[in-house]
Order: sequence, then C-alpha cells, then structure tokens
Amino acid sequence: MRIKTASIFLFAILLLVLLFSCEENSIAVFYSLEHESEVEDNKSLDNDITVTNIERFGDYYYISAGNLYRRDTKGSTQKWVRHSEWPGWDSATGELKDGLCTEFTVFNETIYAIFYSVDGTETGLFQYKGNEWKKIENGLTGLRLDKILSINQTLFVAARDSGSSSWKLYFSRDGESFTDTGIGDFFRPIISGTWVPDTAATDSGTFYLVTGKKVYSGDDPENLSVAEDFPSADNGYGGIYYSRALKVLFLSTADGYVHANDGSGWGTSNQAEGVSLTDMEELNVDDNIVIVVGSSNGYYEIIVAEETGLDKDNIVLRIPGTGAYYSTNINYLNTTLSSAVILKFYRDEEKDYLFGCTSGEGLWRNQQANGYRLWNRE
Amino acid sequence: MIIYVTIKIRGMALRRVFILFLTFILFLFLSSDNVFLHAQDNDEREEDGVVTLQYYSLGDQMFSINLGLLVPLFFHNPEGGITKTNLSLGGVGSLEWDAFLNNNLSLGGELGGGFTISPLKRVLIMIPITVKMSYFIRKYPFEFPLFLSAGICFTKLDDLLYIGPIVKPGFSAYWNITPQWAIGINAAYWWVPEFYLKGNLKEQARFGNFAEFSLSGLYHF
Repeated sequence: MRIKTASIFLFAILLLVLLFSCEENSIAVFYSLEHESEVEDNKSLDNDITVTNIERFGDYYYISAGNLYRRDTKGSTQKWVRHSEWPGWDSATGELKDGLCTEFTVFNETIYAIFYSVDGTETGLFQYKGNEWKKIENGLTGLRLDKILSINQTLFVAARDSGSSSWKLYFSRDGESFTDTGIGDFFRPIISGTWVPDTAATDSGTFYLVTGKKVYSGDDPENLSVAEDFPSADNGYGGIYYSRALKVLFLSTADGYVHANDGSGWGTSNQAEGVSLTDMEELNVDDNIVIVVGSSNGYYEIIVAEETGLDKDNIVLRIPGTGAYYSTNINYLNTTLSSAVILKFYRDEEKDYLFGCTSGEGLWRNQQANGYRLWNRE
Repeated sequence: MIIYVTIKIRGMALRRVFILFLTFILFLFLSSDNVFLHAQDNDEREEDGVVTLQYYSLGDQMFSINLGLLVPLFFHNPEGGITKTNLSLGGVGSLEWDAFLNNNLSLGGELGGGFTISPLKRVLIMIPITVKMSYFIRKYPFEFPLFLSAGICFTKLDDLLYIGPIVKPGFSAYWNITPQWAIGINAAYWWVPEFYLKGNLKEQARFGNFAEFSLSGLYHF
C-alpha cells in the first residue's frame, strides 16, 4: 500500500510539472540569473537622471541632463563634472546661472546649450567657447527654445513664440545669428535630423528633418519643404538616420516600425509591438553592420551582413542579447536598460563606444569586452 | 503596451492549475486512508503485547512559524552541467499547519516565501505553497520529523514570473518545552524545476537547487 501511495504522490507531482512548464516567458528566470554579471558603474553620475544628448568634443564627452556635464574620454572611470565647475563660470549670466540645461549640441568646435530658468518661463541659447559663456540672441529674441541640432555644418533650433503651441525652425551657419527656415506649425518640435549626400564625391546633399508627423527635406535650410513619398505614421515618427556604410536612409516610427530606403523605394520592418521607436545608430560587429533602434522599452537591433547589404523588404527588428550576440550579450536583458526609454544613441568611433541616453535610467556605455559587447553604466 | 519580457498567465491555465492542485491534495488524502489502516494494524500489534507510547492520534494538530536562511546552491541544466546561481545568501520564512494521521505521520500545508539578491540587485522571490507529509521519530522530549513537501512555487524576478512545481525533502529536530510548545531547527532542500515544453525557451530550462536552514516555533493543539 505504501508503494501505491508513493506512486500516486509522484504521479501528481509529474502532472504538476508538465502542466506548469507550459507557462510562457520571454526569458527563463533561472537562465537569466545564471548569465547575470555585475555592471561596471562610473558612479559619478546618478543612475536615475534623464540624459537628452551626449557628444564627444575634443578630449571630453559632454551630456545634457538638467546640468551640462563633461568627463575626460580617457578610460571609463573619469569623473563627470557639472558646468558650474568648468573654467569660465564667472562669465555665466541669465538662465544659465541657475537654470536647467535641456538640450545641447556641438557645432563649429563650440558647445551650444539651451537653458531654462527654474520656473520654466525663460529660455536662452548659450555658447561655451574658449572657457567663456555667451548668450546667443540674434534671431532668437523672445522665443522659447526646445531643441537644437547640428547637421552638416548647420545649426538648427526649434523654437516657438511665447504662448504659442506651434514651433518654428531656425537655422544658423555661423552659430551667432539665426534665420527662420520658413517651415513650422509642427505637431512636435523637430526631433531628429540627418543629411544625405548626393554622391560620395560631392559636398551637395539633402537635409531631412523629422517632426511629429512630417518629414521636411531640402538641399538648403532656406529651401525646406514637406518631403513626399515618405511612409506615414499614425502616431508620429521617432527618428531618422542615414547609414553611410549601407547608403540607406532609416526612418523609425512611434508605431513600432522601421522603414528603410536604399534609393529604390521604401521597405518596412516587422512591428516592434507596443513600443515607440526612437533614435538610431550603427555599429560594426564582426562582419555585420548592426543598426540599433531605441524604443520606449529598451532597444532593438537590425543585423545587416556587410557583403549582402540590407534586404529592405525583410527588415527584422530583434531583441538584443537573445540567440547570437551582436550589439550586446545576454546581460543586457538583466539590466534596467532593457526596459528603459532610450532617447538617443551616440557612437564614438575612435573608442568604439556606443552610448545610450535614457529617460530616468541614466547614461549607459556599450563596449567590446571579452569577445563580445556589453553595457555598463556611466 | 506589451513589454518584450511579458508574462502571459492565461485564465484557463490558472483554472487548470488550481483544479489539478486540488486533485493533488485529494490524492494525498485518499492515500492517507491506507495510512489509517496501517495505524490500526499497529494498534492491533499493541494489543498483542507490544507496548508503544502514543503521543499523538488522529486529529491532533500543530501550527508552526519558521524563519531562517535560504542558500542558493546551483542550477542544473537538464541537458548537462551544473552552473552557479550568482545569487546571494537569502532569507526564508513560512507558516505551517499539520494534522496527525496517527502517532508517527502528519499531513499539512505550508505557505512560505524566500528571497535572494542577484549581482544587479534584482530580488528573486519564491513563494512556495506546498502539501507536507512528515514522519516522526521520537526520543522524548525530542522529535525528529523527516518530511517531504510538494506543491507549486511562484518564482518572480523583476517582470519575470514563473509558476511551477517545487519539491522539498528535509528533516527537523524539535525540543518539546511543554506539551503544547516546542522549538526546533529545520533543514530542507528546495528543488525548483523551471522548464518549458514548447517555444524558444526550451533550451533555457534549469532546475533550481536551494537549501533552507530555519528555526521553528511550534504549538500543539
């Protein structure tokens, strides 16, 4: 009888095992733990800040994250220093003095940063050059500034009149005075832009600037118009990126698609379900070009073998760290980056770093280590 | 928004789970009929002159609270290989109720919880709900139950959730301070399989192996 009791007991356990094992996860819990490793953390930057941009200029990386910060590019343990501790702080005035930095870019070997006053009522564009701060007002007086982009030796600023809910786009070629491009009334301010050369041998090309639901293009900032034959996006666009290696223009959308145009028309990816796609960048991994696509929930990657190029009609958005490793190993899935809103990617080709700017999850650095790429915190 | 790490616990599946769990408990109670018969056999032998001191009888109950340490041991890959868990020493606690079926055998239930921390400060939480059968060896005032628990375990890590089986063999040592109160120590092995019959996670199946060392406070009633 005891044998019978034990048999029933074991049978019941077996049934339970078979039943529960049908549960679905995207990654197994114990497998995830088995492959978890510590993430290097620079620790001089808070891990819960929002970083809107990062760029390298000279021997420093600069970021905008409420304050402007910079750190030496040597190594990964250099301390991030806020702008109030940089040389020349005595020359700071206005919103810069006690305001918040929302955006910045590097143009003409100069830092340009948008600062808001703490109460949010005043904005100003400031230039940091030769250890001196200077407010740039020519052409921008009385405007609220929201976004700044440096594209092909042209500085663009999205701004609006006080009290207005629509934006206009201004540009400058010298960084001192701004001119209205004549385009505006955006659903959102300019969120992304790129420049596509006509041919590799010439300096001529086309600007592409993405707002909420429109793409503007033109060969000159004074000659921009709504670009035709671009795929529509019900919930707006996320970013635009031109790969010089692939000679392909990529367009991401808030609907979860990446569209690609190699000159012969547009192709579309599978849908990243339930996420908004944002900024894009590229990496070289072994013999592949990897396009990384930020999203509201981590990021995706598009793998393109260099010799075959992109099959634009079969673009596959894949979750990094699963299956074969390209832009990261599996530890990415164990980090909070895998569920963070990624606002911006930036690649430092010399260091072979890829930086990821997030909303509320700090700044992350992707680099080669031990035969594969991985993510560390700044 | 569907997060790439989604957990889909289907209503139908949950219902099936609990129906099967109830069936499992029913199996145990049905099987305990055999134990009753066996107990009667013992009584008959006592009548034949073998004197056995009866501490407990059918219907006697005990309630216990357990607190202690959860030690992650290793993960076992069913396709071969033992791997480290990367987990820290954790904590464990449980509430337990048992009823004696005869002088030596008890059947009960246990609701527990354990946690450990990963290198990235993620918290692995395991909540086992088990049926427990214990066999008591005695040398009064000490008791040494050997037990086997089995049931379901809710395993959670960040947004990941896995509901699967758990089996916990172990033993305890109790000191009966009074006829009602006892304190003791427990050691148990947690075997927590996580595997998938279909999909791309089949290759990620692992059997979690943990050890529990805890202190108990018991009340007999």
